[in-house]
Amino acid sequence: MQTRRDFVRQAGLSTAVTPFLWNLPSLGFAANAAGPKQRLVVFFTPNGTVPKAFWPESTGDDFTLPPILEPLAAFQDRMLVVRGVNNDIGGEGDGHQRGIGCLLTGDELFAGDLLGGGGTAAGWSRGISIDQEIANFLQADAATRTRFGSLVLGVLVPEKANTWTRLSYAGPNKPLTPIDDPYRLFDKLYGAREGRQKLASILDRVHADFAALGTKLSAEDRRTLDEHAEFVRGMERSLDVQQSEVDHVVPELEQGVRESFANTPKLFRMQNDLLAGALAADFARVATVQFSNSVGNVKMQWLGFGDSHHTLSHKPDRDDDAQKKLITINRYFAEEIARFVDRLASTPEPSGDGTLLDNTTVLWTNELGKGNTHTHKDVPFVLVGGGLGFKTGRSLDLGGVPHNRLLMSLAHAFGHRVETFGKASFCKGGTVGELGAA
Amino acid sequence: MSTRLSGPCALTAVTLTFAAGTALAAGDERGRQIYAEECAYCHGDKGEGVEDVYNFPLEGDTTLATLTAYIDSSMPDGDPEYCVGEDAASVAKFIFKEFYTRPTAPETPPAVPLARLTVSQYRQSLADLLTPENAAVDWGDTRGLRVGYFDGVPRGSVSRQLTLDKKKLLVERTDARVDVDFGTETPAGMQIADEFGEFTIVWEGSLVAPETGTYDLRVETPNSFQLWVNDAAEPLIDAGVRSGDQTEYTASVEMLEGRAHPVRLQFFKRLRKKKVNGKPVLIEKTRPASIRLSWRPPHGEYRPVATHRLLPVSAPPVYVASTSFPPDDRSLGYPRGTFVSEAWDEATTSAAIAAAGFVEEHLDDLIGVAADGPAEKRVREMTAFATDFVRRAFGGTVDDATAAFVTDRVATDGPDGVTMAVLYALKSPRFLYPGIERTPELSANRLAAVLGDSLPDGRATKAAADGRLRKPEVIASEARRMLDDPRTRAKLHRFFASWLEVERDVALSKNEDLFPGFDAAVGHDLRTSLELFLDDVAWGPRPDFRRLIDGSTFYVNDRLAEIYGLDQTGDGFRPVRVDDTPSAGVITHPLVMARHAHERETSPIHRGVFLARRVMGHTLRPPQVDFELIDPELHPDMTMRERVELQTGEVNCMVCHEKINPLGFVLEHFDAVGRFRKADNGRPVDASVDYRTPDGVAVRLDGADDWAALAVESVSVRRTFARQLFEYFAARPPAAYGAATLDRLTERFTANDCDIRELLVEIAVTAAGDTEAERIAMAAAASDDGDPIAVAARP
Repeated sequence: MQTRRDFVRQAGLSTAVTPFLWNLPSLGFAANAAGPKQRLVVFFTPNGTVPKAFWPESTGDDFTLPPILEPLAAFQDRMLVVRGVNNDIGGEGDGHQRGIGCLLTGDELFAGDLLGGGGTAAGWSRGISIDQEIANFLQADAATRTRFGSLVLGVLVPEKANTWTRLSYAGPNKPLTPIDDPYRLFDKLYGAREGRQKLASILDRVHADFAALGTKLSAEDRRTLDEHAEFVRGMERSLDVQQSEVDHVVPELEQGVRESFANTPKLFRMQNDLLAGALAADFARVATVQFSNSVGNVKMQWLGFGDSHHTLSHKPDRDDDAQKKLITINRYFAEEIARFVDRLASTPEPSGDGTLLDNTTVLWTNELGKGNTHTHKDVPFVLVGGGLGFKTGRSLDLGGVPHNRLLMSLAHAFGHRVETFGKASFCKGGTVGELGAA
Repeated sequence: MSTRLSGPCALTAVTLTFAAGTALAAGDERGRQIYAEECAYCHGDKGEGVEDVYNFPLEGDTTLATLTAYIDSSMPDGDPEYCVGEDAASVAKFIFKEFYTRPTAPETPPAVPLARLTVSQYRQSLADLLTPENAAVDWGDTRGLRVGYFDGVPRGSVSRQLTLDKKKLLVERTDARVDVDFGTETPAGMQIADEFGEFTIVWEGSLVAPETGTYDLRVETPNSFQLWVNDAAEPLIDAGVRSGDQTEYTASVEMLEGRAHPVRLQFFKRLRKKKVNGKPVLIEKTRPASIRLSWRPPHGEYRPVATHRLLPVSAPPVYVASTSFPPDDRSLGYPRGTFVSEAWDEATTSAAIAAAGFVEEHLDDLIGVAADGPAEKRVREMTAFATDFVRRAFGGTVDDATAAFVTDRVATDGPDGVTMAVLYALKSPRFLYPGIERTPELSANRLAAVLGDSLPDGRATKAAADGRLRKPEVIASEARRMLDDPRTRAKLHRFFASWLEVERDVALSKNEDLFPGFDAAVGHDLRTSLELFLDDVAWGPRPDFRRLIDGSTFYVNDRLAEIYGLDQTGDGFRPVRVDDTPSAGVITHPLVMARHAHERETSPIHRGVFLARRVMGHTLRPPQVDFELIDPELHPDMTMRERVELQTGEVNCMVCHEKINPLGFVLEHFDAVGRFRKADNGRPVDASVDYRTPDGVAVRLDGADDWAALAVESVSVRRTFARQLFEYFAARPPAAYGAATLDRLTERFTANDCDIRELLVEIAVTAAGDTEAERIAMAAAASDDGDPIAVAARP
């Protein structure tokens, strides 16, 4: 019974001294102070991709989008397809565990007792993930600090805390639980504001009670009650002030959408819409969105077939039916990401300077290069948007650089000039120059 | 036993009183004149005091001789030479006779100011409103947690409470604590069939919080586990996956005093393996298996959760408001809700919003209809829930307009309407000031608030609403039923701590060189020891108050046994009788003795003031100057007693110290940590004193045994206890219910063999009724309405 209250506490609600701070999203933060905002949103989808339908045939700025990336065609000039990045972190765990657990951390997994489909039994990652590293960096500076710093979101993430279900880490042995319930996310983002509005709506009755009861009391007791009523009026005035200062559009959520395979497309969109709203309101500058989990077995009936995703991903390349379905699945992911990107592209920055997409980089990745081999070579990395200042409209093949260097590049793009990230031996050569960082 | 309650000393007391009563008329007149001219300016015409000059009435239990000596040497203030000798004697006589020894019954009943919920009442009431089923659970008599051992471990890791295969159950029993260490072996006496020797243990039950606040829970294990506390859905700690070298896990949870919070701990001994050709193969041959659960209560250190805090029953979760409230006024020695501050109002707002959020989140469960259930039924159940919530918050009754408001809101706004109703109820003065309206359920509400700081259950509310809760014997039987509620026990614990001045936020710190081993852990053990004894008396078969101050039972564990020179047995807390040294029950309990002592030395003054005020019932004025205890190095050969006598020997001091010192000296056999000692500073302890009771009886006492023998016979001691118990539970003085209330309660207390529980019942019955002021106001209102019966009933 504390989950909800944790949110409430994060929203600054339950401390007696700060009722005036309720859900003042960016008030009190000098968020709009300096320079253009920079944002990073990482989309994780599991079980590898279908390389032949994912990687463009040519590199450079003249390339044709293969079927899986086609839904992002409208943003081809804002896109950077980065092939040739390997997650070579070895150590404990099976391919999937290392795939997801080392993906954003660039570090090995601890030895543990969670035995996967191969390799040794593993525990959690030994390091912090890059999203949290960047969020911490931004939160440390008043000029870039936001209400939440980062949002760790998911879609249909199973209720199991294990290496396959955790992407973001606050530090060694500190996996973060993604919020996959849009209603809980809504509460986190807007719950306090809603509560405040409801509170304001009942205060007339409270005052009527004060007035009615006061008449029955002795003069001395009435003084106590009057004094109390005055405190309530003070609170009411502060609510009015806050009301006028906060004018963010609060998204409307369809009610009663439960977690199920059938509802997954709805849930995915609800999460993405809430995230877009949160970015517009500058609640956070960094986010991860994790679709199900590594080894995720969502059955995507809405795509016209009922196969489990992970099971499909193990089928051999010669299984045309499976290949087709996997392409369909990954195209679906691309469509939803494109929809999100489009949302960013069509939302102006509150400062009036360009759109959200101009200052946001959306990174789409996966724990495996390919499902049926569990390879960590050519891990999918597609970046869309202008947030990190990379030179977009290109397809690259880096020929096999450790993914730690890509993670470092993300940090550097925020001005956070880490010398290594994750396992230091994989950081030789520093950031990836080919990204064309400004 | 050397107590002498009669004989020459007692006779002296009578003579003195007699002499005062028949003072010569001429002397009287002289005294009156001096008083009017020299004293009344500061002390008022009738000794009632003068605001901001001398605030205290001239009354008390000091002897005429002391009073005379004091006036002679110290009065008038600033010019003590002005009134001496015969003058001093005659004005002392006048004061003594005219008002000093007058009965304290005031002419008008004390005003009882309007009171909001105390912090404790607020939290408990909110818990009752949101999770009423928590208080209804039967704790049973067994303590400890249920535990089941299962063969093998479940595959993978699932973050929910597992239903395990009964066929794999190896052993089922109740454990006194969660602290097992199997090394690399199989649990003793168990045949594990699992191919890797893996096993699962599940502990289940409830944690009982000794106080409200944040508890840090700690699990130490080299294995994997999941822990739930007060929330069956989300684990408090999810270490279903073991990782790296981590063997210690902590997390915080809010808990509510006297409540059972469901707990579940799933433990897995799982060995490390790797996959070889698709088959799991061990990569560690052995792995130790152990797990230990500790907690750190709000004012404590990490320690194993004591057995008496563990229930084998899994209670339904309880709502705990995590809002922090400003503390209640304690200026009269008991918490009262008579002061409303902005911070308090803000806290109620935060708490109301959090509660509304809870309702929003758990609405489907609270109304018993799912979000996608039949719409009509949903509206009906939401309306019913919201109306009932407001009704209970408002003391059992809602008027038509309020009911219509709630119905309307739910009809218009659906689930939002429910949260609006909750917010309204929790912000309304009709909730925050219980009893501000005279609802038919008033007596039930008062009973529950007095006994457990809570709201009444349905049964009591119904009895009151049906008009059955009027006769004292019916109220008494309802009070007796509520007495069994753990919240009443928790409140009694808090009272005892307040009475003995050993509240939880008081830290004991003792000199490490002089008292090696006396650390914070010992302090906590002492508290447990004291509470076990208090529980023994209060809730055992013979709840005789006299056992509290006369008993020689001391609960010890091995750590205490070592410090207090008792046998160590390797068991947990156990009662031992300490018959070979003097003892006076809880008064000489080491926690109480250590609390009323300095870091290195005893403090007869602290002990004396404590006994005089809290136990014997003397009136003491606060000292007019703060004193530093005389530095022991100035008088290296003196005992503590001698130094105190040296410092307080002046007649100015003796007004109070003639009461304080003997009560402190009589406990000099107990050192600064409450150990028995025979010598102080190399000389034999002298614990013999001449002492005059508040009833004016002079006695000679030698040591704690004598004091205890005197105290168990003393009406004043009983009266003093009854008064404090009343004030703490009812949050107002007994005189609010009539000048004779305390006398009546004290007489009944004596007649009932000093039964503490029966005294509580009498207090509850009294406080469930109206105060004198309320009766007068009602009679006045009725008289305005021309109601002749009510007018006739006017006292």
